[in-house]
Amino acid sequence: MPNPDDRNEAPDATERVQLLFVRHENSIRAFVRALQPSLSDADDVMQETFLTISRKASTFEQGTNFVAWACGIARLKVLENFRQKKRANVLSEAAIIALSEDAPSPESLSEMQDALDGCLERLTAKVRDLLWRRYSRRQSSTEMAAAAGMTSTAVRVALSKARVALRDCINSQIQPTR
Amino acid sequence: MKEMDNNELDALINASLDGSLCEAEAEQLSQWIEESSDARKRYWELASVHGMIEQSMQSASLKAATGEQPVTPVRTDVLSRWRRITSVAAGVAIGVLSASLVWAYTIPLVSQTPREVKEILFESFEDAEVKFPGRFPAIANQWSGSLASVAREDTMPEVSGARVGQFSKLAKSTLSYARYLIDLDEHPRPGNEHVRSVEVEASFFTSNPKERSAFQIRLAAFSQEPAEIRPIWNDHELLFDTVLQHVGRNYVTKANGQSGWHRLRTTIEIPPRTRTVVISLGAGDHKPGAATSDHFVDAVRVHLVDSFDPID
Repeated sequence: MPNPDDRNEAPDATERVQLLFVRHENSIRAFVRALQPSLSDADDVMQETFLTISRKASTFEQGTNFVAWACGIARLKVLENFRQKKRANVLSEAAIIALSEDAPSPESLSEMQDALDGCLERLTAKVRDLLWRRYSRRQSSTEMAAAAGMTSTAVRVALSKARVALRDCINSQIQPTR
Repeated sequence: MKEMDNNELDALINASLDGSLCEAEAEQLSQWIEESSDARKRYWELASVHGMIEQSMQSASLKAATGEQPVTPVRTDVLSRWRRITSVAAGVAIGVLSASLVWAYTIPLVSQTPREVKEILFESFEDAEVKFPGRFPAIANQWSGSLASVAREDTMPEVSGARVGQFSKLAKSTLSYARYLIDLDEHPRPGNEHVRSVEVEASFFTSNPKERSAFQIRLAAFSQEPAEIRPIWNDHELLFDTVLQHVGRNYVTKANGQSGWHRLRTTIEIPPRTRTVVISLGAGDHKPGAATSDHFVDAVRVHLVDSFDPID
């Protein structure tokens, strides 16, 4: 976390990886949120990941893939979080491990992110509003239902349909170039 | 094993992303994922959307579509609008938004509990004579770091006053920082049934919006008194063993973005034994070696927020 600033010389290893974390946070977070859908759990994992990459900064080899290195650490933090919470209604540890081994590349995630921005604009204003409430304002289905005059079930269905529509849109945008 | 059906798989993945899986559904989805690369591919396609929407939701155009927030950069004449936003995430970036994420949240995002808010610092760097010490502060209530008070340039919209803080350019591959310590012993403690938070807002500016810049607010809570923090802060191992709470907000501007101030806000929940809170503001070029931009800060506001939270 800290940046020893009693000097003005070149940054040390910890500062370098922290800055890399700032630059690549989007990719790391997308990876974490996919494995750890809960917003608060994902925040905890990101926090732990940041602290761990800071601690292990000296083991990162300059010039190698930082996102891959950081996601490797994040994956372990996701698993730790799963073990601590011990919930019955989430994916198994074996499933998480299998998923993390098949994770899309940072380049692929970046390509999807670019396509996603265009696809979001194709949604109706009402659906965009629901997505904004869920992902930006972090409202629960109940809160969203009250605000939108819908039932909680209808909210969840609408969100599911929106994600599927966005997935299909992204696939149509990026597959021709693959 | 039940035969995999794509529609059912999508439904289970969506339920997983919404946190609404029942135990039997979680077991079924786990089994398909463990045994089928097609299921894993399908999971990633949907889960990646889930993971990335949050970032895209930060885009100004999308918020404009919802009618919830204006899209103009922060200027004095619109500042009052921000006051009306009452239920916000612990870390928020307002203004010209692009990729902007918080890597730590520590307080409830939507609070319905009574709150008492007290402003304990407003800094707009108006004193032209002040020299900021370069070293990490050894006492509370004093800015230090790579910072200087400079006259606001004509190209900058006014946020507060005629002067702003300018970050010095240091090594090309790192951010420049300004630090400030709060000694909580100088402020009356809240009652036992209150939770205290410290909320920090600051406005950042880059002289070259064509290039991407990184801005950062980090907050850290320590049980030690202010004079004891510097050696802890400068020793990473010691710090990670010592810090009680630590949150931060990173914000990266878009290339070829609009000129204007970028307003960031971050909140840290204060653990009971906290004596000192470190405020760290950072700014710099997003790409190492770019070094094409000057970075500024203004209108730093610090609030103590005491929320009523009775123990059951």
